[in-house]
Amino acid sequence: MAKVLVIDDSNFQRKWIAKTAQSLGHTTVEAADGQEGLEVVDLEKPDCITVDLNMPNMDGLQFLTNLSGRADAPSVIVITADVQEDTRNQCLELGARALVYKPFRPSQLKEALDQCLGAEA
Amino acid sequence: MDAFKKDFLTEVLNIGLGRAGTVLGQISGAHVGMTVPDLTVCKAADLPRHLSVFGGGEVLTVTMPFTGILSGDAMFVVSPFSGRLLSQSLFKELLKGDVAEADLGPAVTELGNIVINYFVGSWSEIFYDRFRFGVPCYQRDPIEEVVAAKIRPNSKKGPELYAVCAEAHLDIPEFFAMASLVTLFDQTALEKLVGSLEPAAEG
Repeated sequence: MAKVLVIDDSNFQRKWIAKTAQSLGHTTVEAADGQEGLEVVDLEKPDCITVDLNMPNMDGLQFLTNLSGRADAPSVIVITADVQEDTRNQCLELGARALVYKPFRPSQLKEALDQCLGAEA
Repeated sequence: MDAFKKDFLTEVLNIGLGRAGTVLGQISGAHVGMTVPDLTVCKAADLPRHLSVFGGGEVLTVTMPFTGILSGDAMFVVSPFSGRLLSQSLFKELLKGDVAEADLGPAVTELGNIVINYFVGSWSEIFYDRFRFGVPCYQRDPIEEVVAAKIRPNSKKGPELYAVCAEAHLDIPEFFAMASLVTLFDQTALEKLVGSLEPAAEG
């Protein structure tokens, strides 16, 4: 069981991702944008993070950039509707461990979580 | 716009609609019957006439600005009935039974965000350029008011706003759900779009 931080400006999408992660046995905390996400990372010390890209205040790419400078940064899964290949490449270059495209099946999120949490172990 | 460019633009939109239709099919769990897009280029103020299939009542719209080799706004248009149906399919565990009005806007916003990303994102493979998106904006009003709200900021400083409109019809066995996708460009961007079609078509 792991603590997963879910970052998405859509309340529905946050609840959906959190519910899916909880059904897989994980606990979750949430943030509505990248700035809040960084604060929650410091406070809650999650084992893994899911992050949307297109958010106000601080978007997902800025969040990845800010997080990548930290030595103990948890693995990040980008969950996005942006299916462009350049976007994917940029996310991976900025340190994302996996990408999941919306709309996703629970099995796809499970696979990404297993990949990230397995890497953390 | 000459016939060649119109044909190519139709194909660009067809590809985008195909991707949008695919994701709507994933969301609804249904096979999607797609029509060849009916391409219309008109002044934005004339757009409501071309979306008369929505019957003049309220529609739910999600508008997202995008920038890249082309910049404009993409608008996802759906009837309240279709919006409820598709939202319930997308967030099935969260939206059981009747969808409360307070939930419909946020749910349709996320629905529109996904569909528009697939619609416009597919163009990156055609124009060899990446598109960036702004935050989606939801509105529930008759289409005339939605268009008027878009035109108003442009009218004082501006180049005229044009609509490139393509309609996609999604058929679900038990229901008829319908969505439209519209892209809005100002005159400069539309001329740039038309100018970009020839190099893109030549690959």
